[in-house]
Amino acid sequence: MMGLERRLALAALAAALVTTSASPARAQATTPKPAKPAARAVAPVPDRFRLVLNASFWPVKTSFSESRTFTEYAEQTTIRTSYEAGTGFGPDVALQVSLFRGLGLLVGYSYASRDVTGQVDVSRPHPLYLDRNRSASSEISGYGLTEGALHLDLAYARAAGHLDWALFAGATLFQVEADLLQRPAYDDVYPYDELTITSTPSTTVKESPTGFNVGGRLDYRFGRSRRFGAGVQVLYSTASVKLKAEPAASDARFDAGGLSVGAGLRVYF
Amino acid sequence: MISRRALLCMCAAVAIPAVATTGERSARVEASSGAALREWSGRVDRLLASGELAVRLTRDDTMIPGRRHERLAQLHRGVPVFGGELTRQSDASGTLTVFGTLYEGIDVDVAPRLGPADAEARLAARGGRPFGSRGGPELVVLPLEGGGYRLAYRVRAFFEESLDVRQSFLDAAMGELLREYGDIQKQVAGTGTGVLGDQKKISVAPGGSGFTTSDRLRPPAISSYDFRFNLNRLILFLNADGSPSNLTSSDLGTDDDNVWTDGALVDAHVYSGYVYDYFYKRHGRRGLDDANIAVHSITHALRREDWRLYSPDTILTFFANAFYVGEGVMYYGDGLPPNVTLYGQRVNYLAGALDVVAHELTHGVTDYTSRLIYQGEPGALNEAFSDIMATGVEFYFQPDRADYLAAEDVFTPGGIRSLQNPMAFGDPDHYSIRYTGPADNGGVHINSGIANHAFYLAIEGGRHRLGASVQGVGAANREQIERVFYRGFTSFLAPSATFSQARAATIQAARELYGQGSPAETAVTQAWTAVGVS
Repeated sequence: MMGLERRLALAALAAALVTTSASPARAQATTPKPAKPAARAVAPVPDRFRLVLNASFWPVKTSFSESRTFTEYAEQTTIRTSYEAGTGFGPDVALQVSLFRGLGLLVGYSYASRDVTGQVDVSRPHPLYLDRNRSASSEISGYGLTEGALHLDLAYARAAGHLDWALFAGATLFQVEADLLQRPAYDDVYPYDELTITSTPSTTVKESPTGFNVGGRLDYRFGRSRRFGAGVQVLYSTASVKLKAEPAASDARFDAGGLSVGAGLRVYF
Repeated sequence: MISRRALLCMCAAVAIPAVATTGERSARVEASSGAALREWSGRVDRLLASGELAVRLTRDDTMIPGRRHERLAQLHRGVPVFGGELTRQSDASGTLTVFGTLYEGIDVDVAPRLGPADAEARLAARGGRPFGSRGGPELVVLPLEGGGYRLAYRVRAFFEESLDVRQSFLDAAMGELLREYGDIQKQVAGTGTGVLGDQKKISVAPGGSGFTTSDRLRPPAISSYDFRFNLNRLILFLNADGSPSNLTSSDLGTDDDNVWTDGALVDAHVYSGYVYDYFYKRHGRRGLDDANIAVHSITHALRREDWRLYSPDTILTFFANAFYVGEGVMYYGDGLPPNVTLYGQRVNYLAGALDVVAHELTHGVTDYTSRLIYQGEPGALNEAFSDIMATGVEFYFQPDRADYLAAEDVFTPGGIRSLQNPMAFGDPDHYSIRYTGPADNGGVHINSGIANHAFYLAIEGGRHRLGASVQGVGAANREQIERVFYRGFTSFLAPSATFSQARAATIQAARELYGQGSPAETAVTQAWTAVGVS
């Protein structure tokens, strides 16, 4: 493996050679023309390591729901909550190393943050009368869903002129944190005929599911050195998530990740 | 002072507010508009200024915003005149109505020869002792039934030997008994069968190792007690003035698993809450005193199987009866064993009937509003108001099986009274055939049929047995008539009100709530006319 220091040394050497070949030309008027110019040294295009820095966007919204049933006032209270996680945004970092003819490994980390809205529908027993449940609904807002994802992929990268592209796929370990409804707070006062939800406090629930990802990247490498570039990336990652707000609640099931598109800088070395 | 001119005004135009006299001694005031109202508005102010009236109670109107109701007790040289009271309704513009009774021509020296202790001693000699927070002795001017007035001590007394509570009036000079009537407002006795077995929710509180019948979900504390057939506990309670302060948490009903199977206890507790809910939701009233007074219900004082050990009066009072003790305390008898009948009826646990609970608690409402004297016509109105509100409660909470019978769920078969057909139980349905004898405190449970039937006709309409037709508001609008009677009875009637005054009060209430010429006013007017009350 070519070390960075070695590559830097080679680059410095090449630059030195370019410099030394120019200076005699300027002295040609006063000094005798050399018999033969020195051979020109060309630095190799770095393509062993690819450092990828993206700003990524998750355009697909995610919906999920949960319900819970428990006893209050000698009857069953049912709370049904639906959530919608909006589009996500976040950084994506990866380091890809080519090991053999473009094949290599990629280690990446992406982080997405989504705003979550939703609705809660409550059916709560009347404290004083049997079979006279009251209903109440409320919008949910201000909740959040974050997904950190560690990707470990096999990657294949090729360069063609200024273009550089890569395909990769592998396993993803997610770290999901979601705000789920705790228990609604009510305005529930005598005569208790109407129920109003006054607030929807949340509780943060975490889970670390494992899934997979697959994606591709197309980059443009700048300049003659082609050590820097910019590009776009499409990534699909997913894992099944089951979150539980409280023991009485059903699982809130959804798929973490999803399709993301990103764009950003590239460093090749 | 009553003028002949005012009397003529009433006769000349029924719609004109009126003042009438009963004999030479009292003024029945029914002033709601015109000259009579202006006259009485000024007169009330003057009487207040001179100390002949005193404000006893003031309440904001729960049905019409901005209005206020006052109860003005009549005083004679600072001494209350028993039964003398006016109700004044007002708003920002001034006085709107004046109803009530004022006694006139009082010439009584208010210096008693006997002291309160002497009165208690005279009462004790008869086996009685003051009972409850308004037990007395209270010095009053007592209008005599035969005319004239006497200075007297009023004592609400408990008589242990007969297990009875009575209002007794003892002459303040000589100590002689001037007047006395039973003051336990009871259901008429009957017979019944077992528990109804319907499921209901019961509001309880955790306590001890289980739960207790203590409702804290409603604004007032509602507590139900299980005396566990301890006769001594009952006597101890009654001897302690029947005050709720003598009921302890150890008397509360208990259950380990919160699945309550004691039907009488459950019904007493749950139905007390229902009645509170009815008055709150239908009439905007907050409990018996409109200030969320606590409600206490006593059950299982006497074991029904022990009925043979007691006198008929005790059976009728403590077994086959429920009654309002006072200060928010209710007593529910356990009825009689299923194999025993009373007047051909079985008597189940009294608390098992929603209308019985509502009836008795409504006596509490009356106690905190009109204080209709439990004798004669006001007594009949007192009973009728309880029957009427009880019917309203039943239709409100049990619409599938509600009817115009009273206590039909526990006095089987048939119940004990009918608002639809009072004659079916031998009660009058027309003023012309009212009972005028001394029994039943002057027929309080009998003549109630007259007002009860007026209530029924005002809702359902139809033709009275004697021919008069009534255009009722219809069952779908029963709420209107319930509100009219509630308003009329609680806001306008005075302690000694008559049927005629009840008519005027309810018509006035109908006008105020639903407008002059409204179907409700027409129905109420026609209904009273149909039952012979003008």
